[in-house]
Amino acid sequence: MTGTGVPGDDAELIRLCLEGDQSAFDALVSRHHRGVYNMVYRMLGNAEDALDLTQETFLRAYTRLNTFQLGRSFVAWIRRIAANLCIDHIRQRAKPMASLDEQAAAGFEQADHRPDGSPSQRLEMAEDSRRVLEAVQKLPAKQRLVLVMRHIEGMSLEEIAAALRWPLGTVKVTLFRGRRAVREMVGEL
Amino acid sequence: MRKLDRACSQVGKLLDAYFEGTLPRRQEEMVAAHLRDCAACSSELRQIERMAAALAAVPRGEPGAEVVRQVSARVAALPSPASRRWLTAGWRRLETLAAACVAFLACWRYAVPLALSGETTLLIGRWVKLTAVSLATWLGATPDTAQGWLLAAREVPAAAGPMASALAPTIGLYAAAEAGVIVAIIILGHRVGRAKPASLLNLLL
Repeated sequence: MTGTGVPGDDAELIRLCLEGDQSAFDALVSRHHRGVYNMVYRMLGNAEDALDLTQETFLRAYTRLNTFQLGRSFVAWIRRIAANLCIDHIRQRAKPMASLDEQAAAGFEQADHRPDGSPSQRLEMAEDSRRVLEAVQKLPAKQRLVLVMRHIEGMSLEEIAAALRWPLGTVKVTLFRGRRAVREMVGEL
Repeated sequence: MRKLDRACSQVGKLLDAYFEGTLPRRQEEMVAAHLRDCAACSSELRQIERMAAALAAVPRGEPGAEVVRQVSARVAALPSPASRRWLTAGWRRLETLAAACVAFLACWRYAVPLALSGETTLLIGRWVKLTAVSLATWLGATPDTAQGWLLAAREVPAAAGPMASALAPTIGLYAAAEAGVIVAIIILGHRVGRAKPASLLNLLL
């Protein structure tokens, strides 16, 4: 997740917010909205819904900020809120994943971000990414969530367990099952 | 060959954990040794690595500053969390425990004697309802769970008992106590259990 920020800084902003300074919450949103949006978008595959749920995530965080335990990770907390909203949303109504063209229109770049690799390697990786993403979108919500957090957001298993408040074993089992299902759907890469 | 198949099957189940580096040392060494000799399992591991790399290379999106502005505008219309700061989780639980005690004591003091006096069997059911809702909320139950308690409470058989007229308060006192308890439960159920006040009122009455 980009804009993870220094936990101490987040805690200071939350403290100010709890003292009535709304601009401190605006700063928190500025710092974390990209990460939340990307995670939600990859979960839902729909830019419009992702924007709505990103807003909803922060509104829910604001209304429950008094329950946030200072000293804990705000990023993990906000991810949990976003994850729960995504799971509820997926269960309620599933929209098809956007095509790559639609994703580009939504601001998602087509090219691989890694600076290394030849153009042909980057093209090959982009094609792999497209195939794998399509398969991920077909997974059950919880498997999809864990795969997005682990491989797209780059979170560790422990971070995912903390964010979702799941036992570490549950995270592993869900991740491994999801990965196996994706491999079966995608075939050889 | 059969022995190799069995080993491949065993290693295949461990490859994801091997990739994550979460295997105990002995198993990790066993898998590593197998991978050195087995092209099929090595290929399977490469597939996991490529899949992970493909997902890590997924492009990121830019939601735009409009999201920040919209959240800021909507947040401005909400009550400040500063006003709710004192209501920490601990306070909420304590508050609900107090409500449960009030509900229990009030009902015990007023509802039970009336019910035992034979005024109405409905009062026993109501006493159980109030206590059940208080306890369920205190225990962190959802409204669904509370409703389950209430359904059970409806089946409480009519209590037949001796007159307890000496203890029985007036109907007015009872009504006031019950109204207070109901209001307390609705407030607490709404705050702590996030239940809609209308739903709680419907359940209670």
